[in-house]
Amino acid sequence: MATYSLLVTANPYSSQGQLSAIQFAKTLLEQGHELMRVFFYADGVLVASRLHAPPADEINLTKAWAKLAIEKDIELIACVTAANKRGIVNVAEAERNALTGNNLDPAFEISGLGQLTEAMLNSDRLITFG
Amino acid sequence: MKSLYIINQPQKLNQALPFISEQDGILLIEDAVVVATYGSVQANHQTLYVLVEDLIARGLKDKVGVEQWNLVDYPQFVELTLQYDKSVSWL
Repeated sequence: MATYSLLVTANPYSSQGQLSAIQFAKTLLEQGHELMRVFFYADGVLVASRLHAPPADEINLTKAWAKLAIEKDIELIACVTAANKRGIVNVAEAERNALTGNNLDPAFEISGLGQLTEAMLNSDRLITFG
Repeated sequence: MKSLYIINQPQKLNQALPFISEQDGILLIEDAVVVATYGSVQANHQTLYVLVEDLIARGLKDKVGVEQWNLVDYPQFVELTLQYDKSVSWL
């Protein structure tokens, strides 16, 4: 069995990449492989907001990732630089930047690119969905 | 070292082809699956795959040139990423 990490740069609403990544993640877990980490970068970090309110007949990608993370104990990490400039902030980053609110979904964490490097070093395969 | 090139938009295949070696594989996903309906691709002996779920979603499954393209599903997609040494998503 192999250890995977995923790099997701796809915008949640203008491309299919987030959905492809979720489907790929579910499939590899069904096959008994391990998913160490999903790293969100560039527009991919937009999915980490807990304030998305898509129409009822559309998939809520944030909730889909969160469900997978909670059920299968997977790390969902958003790049801090990519997230801050797109207005995706946790409590600590909101305070540090003197912002009035925060919106990071509790299933996600904010961290640095070192987490991507570590995932590449410690996984058998890194697959990118952009 | 053989790589699996993952292509997700139709115009990216021609951009990527000059960089893809004979022993590599090419997998079309998302909007790129339409390329598998174009007839023959000027590939240089690479093995060609296309994701069947994305073909079905676009109503294109019966229009694929099956003698050149191998139809794979998500479980086979995962297996391909292990069969090749690394994956390159052409962005």
